[in-house]
Amino acid sequence: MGLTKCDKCGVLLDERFDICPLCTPDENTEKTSVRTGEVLRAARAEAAKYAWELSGIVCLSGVVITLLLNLLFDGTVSWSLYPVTSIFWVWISLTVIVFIRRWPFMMLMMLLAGTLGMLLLFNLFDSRINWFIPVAMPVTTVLFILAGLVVHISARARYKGFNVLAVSLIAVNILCVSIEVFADLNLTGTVTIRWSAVVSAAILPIAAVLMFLHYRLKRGRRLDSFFHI
Amino acid sequence: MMMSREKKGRDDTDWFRLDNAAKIYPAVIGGDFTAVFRISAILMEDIVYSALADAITVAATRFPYFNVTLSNGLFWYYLEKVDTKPRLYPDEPEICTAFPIGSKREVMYRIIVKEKTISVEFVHIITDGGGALEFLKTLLYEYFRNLSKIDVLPSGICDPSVEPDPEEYEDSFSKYFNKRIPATENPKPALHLPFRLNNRPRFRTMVAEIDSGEINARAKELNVSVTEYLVAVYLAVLQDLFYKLPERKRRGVIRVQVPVNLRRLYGSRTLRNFSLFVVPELDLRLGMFAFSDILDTVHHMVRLETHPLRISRIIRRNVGGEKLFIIRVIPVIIKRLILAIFYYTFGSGLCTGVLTNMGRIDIPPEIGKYIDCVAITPPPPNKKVKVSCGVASFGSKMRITFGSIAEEQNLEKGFLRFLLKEGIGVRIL
Repeated sequence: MGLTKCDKCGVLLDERFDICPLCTPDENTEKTSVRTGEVLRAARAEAAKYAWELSGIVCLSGVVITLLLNLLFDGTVSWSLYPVTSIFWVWISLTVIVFIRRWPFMMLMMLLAGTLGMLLLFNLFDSRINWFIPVAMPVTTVLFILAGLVVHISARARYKGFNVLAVSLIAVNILCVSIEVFADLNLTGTVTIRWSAVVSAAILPIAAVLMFLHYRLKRGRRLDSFFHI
Repeated sequence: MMMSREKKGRDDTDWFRLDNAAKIYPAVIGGDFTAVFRISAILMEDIVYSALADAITVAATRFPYFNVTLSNGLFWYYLEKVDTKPRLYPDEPEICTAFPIGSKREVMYRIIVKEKTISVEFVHIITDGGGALEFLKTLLYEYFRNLSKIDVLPSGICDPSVEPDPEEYEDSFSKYFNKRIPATENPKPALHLPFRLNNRPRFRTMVAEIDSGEINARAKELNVSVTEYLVAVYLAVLQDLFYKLPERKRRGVIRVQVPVNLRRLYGSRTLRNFSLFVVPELDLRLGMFAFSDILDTVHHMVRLETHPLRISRIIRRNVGGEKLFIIRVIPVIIKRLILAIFYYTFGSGLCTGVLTNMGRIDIPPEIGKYIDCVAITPPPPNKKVKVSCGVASFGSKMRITFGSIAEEQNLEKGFLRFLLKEGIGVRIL
């Protein structure tokens, strides 16, 4: 039997094969040597899509039930605007997460846009007080920026331990300060840091200790080991 | 057509439950921890593709309970039969990679080939080393038969032309579970190697070959088995590594997990999982142990823990939990989380290292004369254990394969240097 050897994988091939079937994808069927990682990703993507479709059915049911109840008991669409808007926001957020998670920055921007849209609608449903532009928009924007920064820093960290906790605490602190700043500007027109200073005084030393433990003493590098889970 | 005993009479069902050892894996598999192991046969000659491809078809048909995929149920995962056959892949640098869960396009084992080596990779959900070896032996028989190098089925090979016996796919853990005996106690957590993790892809191997005659002679000289000798060497090297650390980091126990094949003990013919672990240990708080002390400790601990009555207690502990009604009715989402915590607390947290010795691989001489050696690559270890060791002997060759996700190679090098100091020749491949 005249056998030739594949240069890549080393198997012997008889005359039937012009090219090695192991090292070359088959045109008629799926690739014969698909990397398992690709199959794994495909399986997960399929499961995520089914979960998204199911969530759509659940959300739509919630919307319909809420509207019907409002119409039934009040004869008009009033209070149901809030839960219906919230449900739409949940479903849009899930859609963004399922389909756009491979592009984290775009996902974050779209989630921010969705959240701002929901808050704007809440403000429009009862426009006696305009709170969207002076408070909701800046605080929400700060929240998303901080969340993005925390996730980005954590992803870049070689060891994800106490340093992640510390960064999260610092982000919470900045958020509290920004809430007080924008709330004060809206209510009084001037900024007086009071309660957020108390939060800072409580949180920042803890964050500093966690950073010291992580970087200086090299402890708490893995939260699961530290907490014995 | 294979059917679950519990589903007798329902012709539309082709599924069965995970055995006790397999149940934990769906909860903890992820990232680098794939639970995939490899057994390799290195032949004397290059592999002929067509003969191997045909052999795979026959072997896969002989073992239909391996042609399964893992599916989600409401209370736990289960194995569902699929028509897909295992795939044949060329070998790649990244080995023991994960299998997709729930995919009907790929079963949970594969065959890998490179030059003269045929390897089978299985995920521990469907079988252990014993079961995988039986598949490999049948595959090799069919392969050599296709090459006209053998015509009569040797003894000790599963006949590809007969239907599988239901005993081959029974859950022996459940069969030999005895709820009237007390469960064994849980030991304290063990120390773990303070090595840094590799960059991804993390898993890499170091393979060494030694003369099995030399190591057998050395073990006999010391009045221990080869497994006990290797475990003692492993513990001695771990002890040396830990004694290089500050004192506060070596207050504790180092423990090596050693799988024991229970098939012979219970006369089971199952080819699904049926192994348990014995865990010889050294308590470093007592001071530094001489190698002779370590040998004694390991020898007596292994003998004690492999006593059938002690093994029964371990089976009682492992299987008892799954039989409780309250556990069975917890939905899979919650149960998965609980099992993952349980595993990392009582499972992987309890051992410092793992050593799997398959012993002398029993392949009939009609096939064995075409095989150079056999090796086992253990599954990628988790982030606590970091380094594991697989040992297999065939003929005069013993292959030691270290699997590691750590940057440092101090354990592997220390182990091999120890063997060299003992006068055992080591060849690193």
